[in-house]
Amino acid sequence: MILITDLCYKKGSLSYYEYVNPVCEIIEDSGFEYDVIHYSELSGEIPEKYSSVIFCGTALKDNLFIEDLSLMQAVRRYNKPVIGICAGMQVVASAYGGDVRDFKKIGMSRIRFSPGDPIFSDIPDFITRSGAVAEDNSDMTGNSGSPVYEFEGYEVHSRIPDMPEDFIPLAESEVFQGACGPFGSAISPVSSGSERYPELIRHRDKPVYGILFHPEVRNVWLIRNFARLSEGGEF
Amino acid sequence: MKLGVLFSGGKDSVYACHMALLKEEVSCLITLRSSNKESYMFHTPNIDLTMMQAEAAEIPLLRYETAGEKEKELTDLKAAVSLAKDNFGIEGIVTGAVMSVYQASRVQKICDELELFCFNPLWYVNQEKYMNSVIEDGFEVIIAGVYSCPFDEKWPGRVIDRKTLAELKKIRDKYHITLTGEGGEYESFVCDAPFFKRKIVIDESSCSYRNYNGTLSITSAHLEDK
Repeated sequence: MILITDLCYKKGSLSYYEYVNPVCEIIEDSGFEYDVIHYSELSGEIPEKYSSVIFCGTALKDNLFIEDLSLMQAVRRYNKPVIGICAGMQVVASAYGGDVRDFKKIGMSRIRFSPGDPIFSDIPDFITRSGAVAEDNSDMTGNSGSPVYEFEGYEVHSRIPDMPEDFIPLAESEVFQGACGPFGSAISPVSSGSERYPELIRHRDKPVYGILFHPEVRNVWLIRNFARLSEGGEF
Repeated sequence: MKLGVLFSGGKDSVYACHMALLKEEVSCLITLRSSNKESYMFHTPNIDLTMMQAEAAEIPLLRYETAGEKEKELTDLKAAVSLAKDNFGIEGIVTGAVMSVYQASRVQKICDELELFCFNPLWYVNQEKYMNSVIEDGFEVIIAGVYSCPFDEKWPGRVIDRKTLAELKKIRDKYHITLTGEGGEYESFVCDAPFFKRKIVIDESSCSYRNYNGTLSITSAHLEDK
């Protein structure tokens, strides 16, 4: 059974329907059982009966969850598959020592990945190959020569975690320097000189993932893959 | 938390308001009245009747005029939301967005700039469950306009009940429309909702229809005790 964790500002909040319910629908449609628990009820421990945990997103202004240190400790101690979406990615990264910084993005982003990780095991037809191949480097799982795929992902966040030491990026987007939002608000880069930022990260040795964009919007395949792998598959 | 609801008078914004009232306080409804029938964000048939719906719900309505020009209408929306923040002290906005990233992301940006929460309680809802809830929860909704094949001239004015929903499902399966009309296949108007103190009764209406495009214009209506 999968545990879906609600990170919103209070149990049973109005945000539940937007950030938690769509993930529940995907898990249910995939044929898996799940429970939903608000993070305040975890009491510093993720119950062993669950096969994996999904941490859902929160509203743009809702950052209360990050103050709960026992939540981070619980994630660090947990040895089963974890995936954190948006705010959940902040939880995962913070648990493993990553700082959180301001970085705003609202809207669709072009995301690139090389399918070396099991989370990409079932790529739907609408996702296209970019024509490029992965370069020989230490990120994107270092799979030199692999095809690069592209898709659109929906981002709504005001902050982004730095990638912890033990994590690698599996997918990324580009920051367009000097780009502006519709009201002239500048899009700030992750760090000075950086042109790319991670959209999907994974621990080097454990099936612990963070996703910056919202896969429940137009990219349910990623959540389905994670659910299937954690319920009997192999990461 | 005091909230303002972006309110078009159709089922999605009215149902979102219903959900918001179950969790938080709704201080005002906000209607953008667009003079552009092709507006991406705001056009709805019978938009002037949101005043009667607000009266039925006994919730203040803030009405704001917009020319409905792409992007400029977003400046107007921001001005309207800003006014609601000043006048009603709202801390967040509620929308009836179901799947439109175009609409949702633009409202998110406006809320962010005005330091307001943004709530989309129908976001990626299971459309069949949602439509069943609309009926089961006691909403009285009519089809106020149809804008795609195969809807004929008999559709404008129909009440969304079990029979209508069953037909919509058949049309969805055959023509791949969305059950909720999210793709602009049809528009709706709410005559009654659980939080309305009184209900709207339509006295007179007219319908224009041509080539799968038909709009019901409500020309006279009154409030009645429930």
